[in-house]
Amino acid sequence: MPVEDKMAVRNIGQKKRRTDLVIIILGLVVLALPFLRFTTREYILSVLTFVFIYTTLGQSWNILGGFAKQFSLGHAAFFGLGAFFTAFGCHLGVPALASLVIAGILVALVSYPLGRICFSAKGPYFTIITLALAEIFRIIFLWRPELSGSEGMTLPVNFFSKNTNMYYLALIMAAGSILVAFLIGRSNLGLSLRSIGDDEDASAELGVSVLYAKSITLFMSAGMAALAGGTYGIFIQYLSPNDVFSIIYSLDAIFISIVGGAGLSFGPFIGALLFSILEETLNPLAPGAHLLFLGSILIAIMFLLPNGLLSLVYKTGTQTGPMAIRIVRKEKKEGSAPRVV
Amino acid sequence: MLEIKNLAVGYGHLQVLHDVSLILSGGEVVALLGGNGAGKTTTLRAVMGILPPWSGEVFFAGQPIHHFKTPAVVSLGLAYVPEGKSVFPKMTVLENLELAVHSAEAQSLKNKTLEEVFELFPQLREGSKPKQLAGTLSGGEQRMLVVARGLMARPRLLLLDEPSLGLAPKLVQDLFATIRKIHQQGMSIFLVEQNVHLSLQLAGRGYVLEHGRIVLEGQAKELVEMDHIKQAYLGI
Amino acid sequence: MDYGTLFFQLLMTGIFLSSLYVLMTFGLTLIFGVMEIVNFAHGSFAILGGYACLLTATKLGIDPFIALLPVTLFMAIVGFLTFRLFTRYTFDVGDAHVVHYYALLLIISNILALIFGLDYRFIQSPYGYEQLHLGTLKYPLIKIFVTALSLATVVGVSLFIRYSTTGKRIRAVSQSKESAEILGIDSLSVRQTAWVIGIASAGLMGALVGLVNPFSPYAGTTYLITAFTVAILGGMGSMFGTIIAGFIVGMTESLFSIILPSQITPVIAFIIIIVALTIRPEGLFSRS
Repeated sequence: MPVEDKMAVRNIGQKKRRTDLVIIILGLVVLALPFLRFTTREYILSVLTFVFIYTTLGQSWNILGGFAKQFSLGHAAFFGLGAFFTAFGCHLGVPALASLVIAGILVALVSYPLGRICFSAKGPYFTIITLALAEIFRIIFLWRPELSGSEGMTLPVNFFSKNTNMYYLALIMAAGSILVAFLIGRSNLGLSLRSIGDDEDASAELGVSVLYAKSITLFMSAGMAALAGGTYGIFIQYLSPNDVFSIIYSLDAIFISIVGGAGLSFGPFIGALLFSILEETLNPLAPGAHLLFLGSILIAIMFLLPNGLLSLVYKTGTQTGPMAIRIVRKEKKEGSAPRVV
Repeated sequence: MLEIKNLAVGYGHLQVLHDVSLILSGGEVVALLGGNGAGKTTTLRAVMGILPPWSGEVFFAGQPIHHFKTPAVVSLGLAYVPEGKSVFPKMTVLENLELAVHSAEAQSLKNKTLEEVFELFPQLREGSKPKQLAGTLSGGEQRMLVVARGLMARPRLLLLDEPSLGLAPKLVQDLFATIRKIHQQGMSIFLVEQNVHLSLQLAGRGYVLEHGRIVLEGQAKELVEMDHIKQAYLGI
Repeated sequence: MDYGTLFFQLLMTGIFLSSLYVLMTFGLTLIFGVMEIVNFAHGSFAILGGYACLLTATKLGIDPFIALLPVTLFMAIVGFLTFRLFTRYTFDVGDAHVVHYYALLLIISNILALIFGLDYRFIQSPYGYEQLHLGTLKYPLIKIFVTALSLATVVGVSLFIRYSTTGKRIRAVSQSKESAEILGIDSLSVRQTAWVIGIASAGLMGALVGLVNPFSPYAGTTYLITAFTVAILGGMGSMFGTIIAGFIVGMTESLFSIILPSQITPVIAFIIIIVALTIRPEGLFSRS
């Protein structure tokens, strides 16, 4: 039988249940946390800092992959670059915050020529190139001692070395990323991105400037990932190419974004929470155990709850969602009956 | 032989066929006519199991086939010759023909079938044609190949989808002459066409489809008479 | 070292590398050609094959080359299972499938990591240190065996696809799935066959590489990237293009290996992709 009409775009994000109050309370708790006194305070603050960093990383993937279906497997490249550029800045004597911001901007700028290369390739080619990119940076940084070599690089102690300041920095960054994603979602750019994600060729024919939309989104995405990377570097104060350029971060970004809810601005936060919980509980057990879980959960989510956990609460773009399995991708593909998840 | 009852089919949100019913008996040539977008190809695809019906039934030799997938429908003895260029371009003429042979019966009779097919379409046997890549054949030859390929499975019912489309008039004449020969050899044919004259010359009975509904049916001779009146209506 | 010897070394290394790259990419291209899926987990299947060979050879105490037979069989079974349990559900997803297969990569890699740990392993063989002598020229025997096997497999699979009935059905489905179905070909079963061949060849490749290079659970990514380079260069979906591209990449890498350290070689592959895609976005022999 005929599929129900797709939701109007502006309905995206409408709440299915009354969760506003919960969010506000949560928000206040999070803000006030450093001022509360309880025994595991340091540990919780530290974990939450990671959550915020991961949120930002996930968000950076989200705006490209969740909205426009440009699936990057190489966000670790931007994450790592942001980390190292921040480190270089600090070593040159530039204050940590400034280093971070400059690193973010630099990486965003670097993304432009990379985008030109990557975006000329469609679909899976884009993913392949981004994957290769992260690997290349890892190898180059590992190879050249000036860039850190295999010994890695430490960051000098700075204003943010105090846990509280770090916590708020990460918090602001995460909140900022959610805001950016939210604004994009509401804007014309967001509309363009969603239509590109739906059917790129049709969008181009309708007059959407595809290259511009993708490029500017990549710009923001790379910048965001770089900020996440830089913050990470400032936090743990030691960087190694095998760590920050590892494909693990690329996966993290994807996991966080999809499991939380791709295409929704709050999704990455939920995803980051789940991710951190998993990492903290499973990692001590065995190497790679938590990654195994991540992969399995990711697959399970994509088959069962394609719009992520948040779809239990919020309405998502279309009835069938961005990642849904049982969807007819192109309606002109004959021979498939429409089946709704 | 073939019976379609109250068939409704569509793509996505779009319903193309509303309540289509028709019958084809063994040995007949039945024509399904109509303008562009009327739903003719959709009907054939539904019969073949390429499109799942929204409602209604299809029977072949008394057996309900509307829930069958395409390989099952083919194994019952239906062969579909789609419109346009549907040869496998990077495979040779011979390979294209051989690909249609599946059932044990067809396998054992393969060489005989090839002979028969080449009798009907001698152009496909000329020179080095059999080893030529199908994509390099002319439009007319490709059309012949697609029809020939349909015959290779030794079907009981041949579904032809707009065989004349895009062919030069002389080629169309030749092709229809060959189709007539195929019918005379005992094949039942379900012919979907926009070319009303040629189809009604060949067919015994016809149906006219418009906007997904049968609006006319009858003996070919009668339909031809009506044709003069309905000329504008059918948009020929 | 005189130029003659140098040339010989470069040539042999080039052929060695090329044969491995072609074997690796073959499976990838076959799968993409038949079902439009980019198997991001391909590298991890290769590594799985490597560990399977390691286990078989050490536990049974047999020559690893003989172990290759049961290993390939094992990988074929793995292919069958993954197809029925996973792959066939990803056909309707469109571009999003990259995430599914990336998740699969993680699952496989980490199962291996849990079982075998993160250390680099190596498959020992009786001919490990012997060289083939041709007058004054010499080259490690094991690399010659590996090259020969890779080439034989590639040729074998190519012939199969070209001349066997199943092979023709595979080609038909990859050229036009719908036309094939209209003829009554069961496209799901054809896709399954293609997938199984692809996975088995990946596993075989991993085992062969394991005889020459140490590997670890996560080493699949490097193979993957090179395979992608070759696949893109040759045009995703073209078996012939894969062979040509494989040799281009293999030979180029061999050439550059005298100037640059070996860790840098993926960078060369990467540069090749960039250049190739800029000049001709569809690859050398794309299927359109």
